[in-house]
Amino acid sequence: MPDRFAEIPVLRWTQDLSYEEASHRQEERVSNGEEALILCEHPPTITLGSAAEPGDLLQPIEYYASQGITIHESPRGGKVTYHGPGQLVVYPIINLRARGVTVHGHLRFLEDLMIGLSERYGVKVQRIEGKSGAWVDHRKIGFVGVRVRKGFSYHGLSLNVSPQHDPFSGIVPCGMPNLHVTSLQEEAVRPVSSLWDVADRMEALALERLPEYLDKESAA
Amino acid sequence: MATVLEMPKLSDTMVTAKLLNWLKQEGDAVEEGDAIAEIETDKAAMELEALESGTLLKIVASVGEELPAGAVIAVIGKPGEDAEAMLAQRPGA
Repeated sequence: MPDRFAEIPVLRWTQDLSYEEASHRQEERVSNGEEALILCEHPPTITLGSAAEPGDLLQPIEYYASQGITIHESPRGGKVTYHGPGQLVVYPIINLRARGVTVHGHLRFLEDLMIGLSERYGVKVQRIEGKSGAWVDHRKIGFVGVRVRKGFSYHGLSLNVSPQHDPFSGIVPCGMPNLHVTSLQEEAVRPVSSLWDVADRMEALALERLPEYLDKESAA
Repeated sequence: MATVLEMPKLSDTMVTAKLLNWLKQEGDAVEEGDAIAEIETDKAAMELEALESGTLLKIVASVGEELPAGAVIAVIGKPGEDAEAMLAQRPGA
């Protein structure tokens, strides 16, 4: 059984690190069998998950380059999404197999983190039955998508901290046309400071909840 | 003795998972733990691993197929073993 998660390294990557390099570093950690909690912000990037379809990009490829957005295929599950400045991305690398956690249990845990964090800003976030991610009414504020290799889950969640409308308008996010995206800043009752302050709270919340969640899942 | 590789039950709530693609071909040698195929359920993509070493004798499931837990995906055994006979012996086959 791996050590308690609280003893596992927390890494922070700024948007100077490309999505490609962030993916590569995660693959390396999984290959080495190293768990981690990674908090990061990506440069403007559209990622195509394993279920992405050609029609999910609404503009010709050149359009995205002209907007300074790079496009990457991603090995995570799910369709197409956008990452960029003002969006908090969290990649918990966890040995699900050794800890006896199911992949669905893990996805729900990621959603719980976004629900718990949003509550601290007075935002009521919920799940919608049959749809993944985190929602404020029918506006999507948070996204999940993971890959499992060698029993390790990696990739993870993204939560819009500041408004992200324009980049999402160039794609069919999660395969849902006309999806309305929102952010903590747009919904919050209490002030939302910088992305890295939100990241501090997310880190504290994740480290607080992980041991309990992993114990509970293993015992189930 | 050949063994059948089945779609795993990924959670209590899983109805089906989709076979995304094959990472090995029929006739390939595989080691225990090798990723053989990629599957997807909900928002998770997973590598499906061989549970023992041998040869990938037969690919049963097709790319794009939605499969319930327990569905036959492939047969792994020694070269020359009869995969069809193995499948015919399965209960309900």
